[in-house]
Amino acid sequence: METLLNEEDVQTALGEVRRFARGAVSSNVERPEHPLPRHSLEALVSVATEAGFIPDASDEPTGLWVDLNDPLGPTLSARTLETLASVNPGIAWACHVRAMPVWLAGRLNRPEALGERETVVPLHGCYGLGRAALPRYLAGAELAVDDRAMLKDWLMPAQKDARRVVHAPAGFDSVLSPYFDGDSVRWIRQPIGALDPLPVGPTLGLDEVDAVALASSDAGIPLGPENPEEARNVFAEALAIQSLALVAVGLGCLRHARDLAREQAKARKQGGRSIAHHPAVQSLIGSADSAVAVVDALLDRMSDGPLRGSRVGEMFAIRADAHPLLCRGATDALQVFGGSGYMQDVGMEKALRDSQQLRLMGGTPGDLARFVAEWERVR
Amino acid sequence: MTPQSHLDGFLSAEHPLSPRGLFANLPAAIRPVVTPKLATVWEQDTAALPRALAHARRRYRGFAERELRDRSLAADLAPHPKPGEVLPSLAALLKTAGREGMLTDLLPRPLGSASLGSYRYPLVWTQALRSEELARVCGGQMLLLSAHSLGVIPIVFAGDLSAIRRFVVPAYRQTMAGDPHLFAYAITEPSAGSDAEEGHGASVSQPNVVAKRVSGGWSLQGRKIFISGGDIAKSITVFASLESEGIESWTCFLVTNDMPGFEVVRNELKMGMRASAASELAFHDVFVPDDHVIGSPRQGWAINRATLNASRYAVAGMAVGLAQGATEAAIDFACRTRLAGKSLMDFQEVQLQIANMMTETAAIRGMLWQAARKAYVARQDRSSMCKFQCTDEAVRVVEMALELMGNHGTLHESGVEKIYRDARLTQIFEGTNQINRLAVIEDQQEHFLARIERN
Repeated sequence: METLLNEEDVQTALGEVRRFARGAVSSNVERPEHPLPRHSLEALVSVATEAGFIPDASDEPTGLWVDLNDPLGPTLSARTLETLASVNPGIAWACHVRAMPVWLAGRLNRPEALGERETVVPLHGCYGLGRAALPRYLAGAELAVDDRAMLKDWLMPAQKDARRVVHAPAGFDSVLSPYFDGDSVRWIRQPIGALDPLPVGPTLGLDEVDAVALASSDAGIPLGPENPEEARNVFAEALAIQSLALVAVGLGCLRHARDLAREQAKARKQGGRSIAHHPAVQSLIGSADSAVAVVDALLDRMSDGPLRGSRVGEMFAIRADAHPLLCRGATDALQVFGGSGYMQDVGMEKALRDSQQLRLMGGTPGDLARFVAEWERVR
Repeated sequence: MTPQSHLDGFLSAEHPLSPRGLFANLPAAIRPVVTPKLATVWEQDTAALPRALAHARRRYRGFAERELRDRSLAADLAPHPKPGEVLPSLAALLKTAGREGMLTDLLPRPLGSASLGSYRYPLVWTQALRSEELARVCGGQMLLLSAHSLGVIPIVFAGDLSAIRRFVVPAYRQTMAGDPHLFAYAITEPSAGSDAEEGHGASVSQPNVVAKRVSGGWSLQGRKIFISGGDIAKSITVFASLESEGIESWTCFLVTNDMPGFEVVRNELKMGMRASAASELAFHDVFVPDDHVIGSPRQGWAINRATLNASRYAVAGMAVGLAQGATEAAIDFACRTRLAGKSLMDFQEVQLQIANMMTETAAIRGMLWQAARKAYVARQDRSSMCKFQCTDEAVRVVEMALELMGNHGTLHESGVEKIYRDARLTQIFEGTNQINRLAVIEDQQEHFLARIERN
């Protein structure tokens, strides 16, 4: 029988995450201008896994996305990511990337889905969010021929050079890919050799995680689910988890940037006094403060109660506005620093790049807004 | 495969309801008035320029495509060189740019490379066209080439013909011969960022670089930071306060990099515009002879402000170019990417986004050209309006391009993530956009005071 978390459990667990973030993580990322060596990332992830923050393939995993049926489970996972991201968003995202395959294998009740080494779950297709076809499918509406073609091509593109871009841990050997079989979104376990992974070099943000571009292939072992309703729920839940993760990491990132901007405003003098007294600077910091407060409330809303696929529309609606707010806050926080904000050793430019990267992953605000319009129309 | 006759949601040009066909049937007298020629926005805009500037614009574009395009992504990824060093590919670019007159166009031929025809129009307009076309292809290389001009402008604005003859003309000759002699402009100090760019802050600021009177000249002591191109410049226009005085005593000194006591301390690790370094410069009792004072002692603040009033047009031009580059990259992506059997360009949401990007870019270009075409006197209010509006809007356009490309836009190879990093600097340098907003008010304050008095 599942044990229900209580508020005290959550606070205790978050306290441990905080100690890990401010200790081991923080000491590894003191110089934002130097990317974290991959071996250091691997070591941190190992420590986080041993500490129970990231689930592993054991019979009784603990950590991110494990207790999602518990009313406080989504809160614990989201705030764990936010806490880690407030020290380093890339490391927080790397933890999420490790946790997703474990959640999916458990959700599908297919423990063999996990590879011998690392496994990756690419959720977004080759471009966008499957336009209006995805909300229709997830809402259980009737699909037209064009919708089926869209979902099929979105998740497994036919265009020869179309590739899905994913974040992947070093040494990953398999991919759990969603595909549309003409009726439902189901999952397939694909060996990495079938997908011709290409390193894509640096990306706008999240320097700590590597991105690869995957070719399209239908080779692999089907994982189900067979039941169409269940298939719909699993995919919707996966998208909802990803939304929660993106907003949580974005919020942690902005908290850090806002705090740095506050310190800078206190310390820096221009015009003969601390810049904290200049209305121009107050407006910039106020913008970051306001974004933190609003997105914090939105994250509470997103993680309130057990996670259900039926809430994916709400999750997307919140993301559509949360990310532009987070980016606005990050760019305003950077502006407080003037020229030094543009320099890598200060850390503000990284916060802005990370915020922008998160805005563009898993559906952009425009994709999300159009999803919500169709979702609300058909459900 | 049959060529596509029209985008989804539109009619082909041959359709009976297409205006293009219908206009052809109107009376011959009215036909030329209502039937536009097929032309891209760039062609339309270039055709609207005076002949000399249209020619310059085409030349800048040709140079940028030929010399900057292929170097752009590699120069961005390369590790920052040590102070004084320059990547071999960028060294070659500087030589070519010098020979082709891209580094010497502040003076007319034969002293420099500007055509006499271009002097019929404000210099800032030509400079804005140049920075737009270069930035459209690569923000970093544009800055590498443009920071040099910024270093020369104070000498021109000092109205010191002797200094132009002694310092600029020989450097230009050397540059046009393929041996670039670069200049840089040094105002920012560790404790004076915005204070070096607006009067109220300057009036209470504690100067860092101080010039002490010594026999036959001045001894400079202190540090300047974030100096674009300061690492490879042979000549630097350095603004320093006189001993025991404030910024009101600022004097412009021409410092050469071989003067004893001059040191390039380090190059910053920047977010973008990485083909051009931002350097910290130290002056350890650098002796500067009297004949290296540009203008007269205590004229530096005026020269600085006049320089900024001119250079802010060029920064606005950079922003327009970066927005244009992002728009074109997004269009290219939309035309080559297919989803469910259709080009992305067929999707209405993509069409709307591209129309927005094209229009916002056209709007800031229109604002800039409108102001620059009359800027025989570079007014602070107009140049600052252009600077903050164009740069803020350009960043929004680049964000739209990123959004249109989704996670593909985040890849370095897309080019747009680089444009975003490059564009973000334009909101900061040449005065933050907050300082530029206040500059508009400063220039108009007499009018506001008069209205307050009336009330």
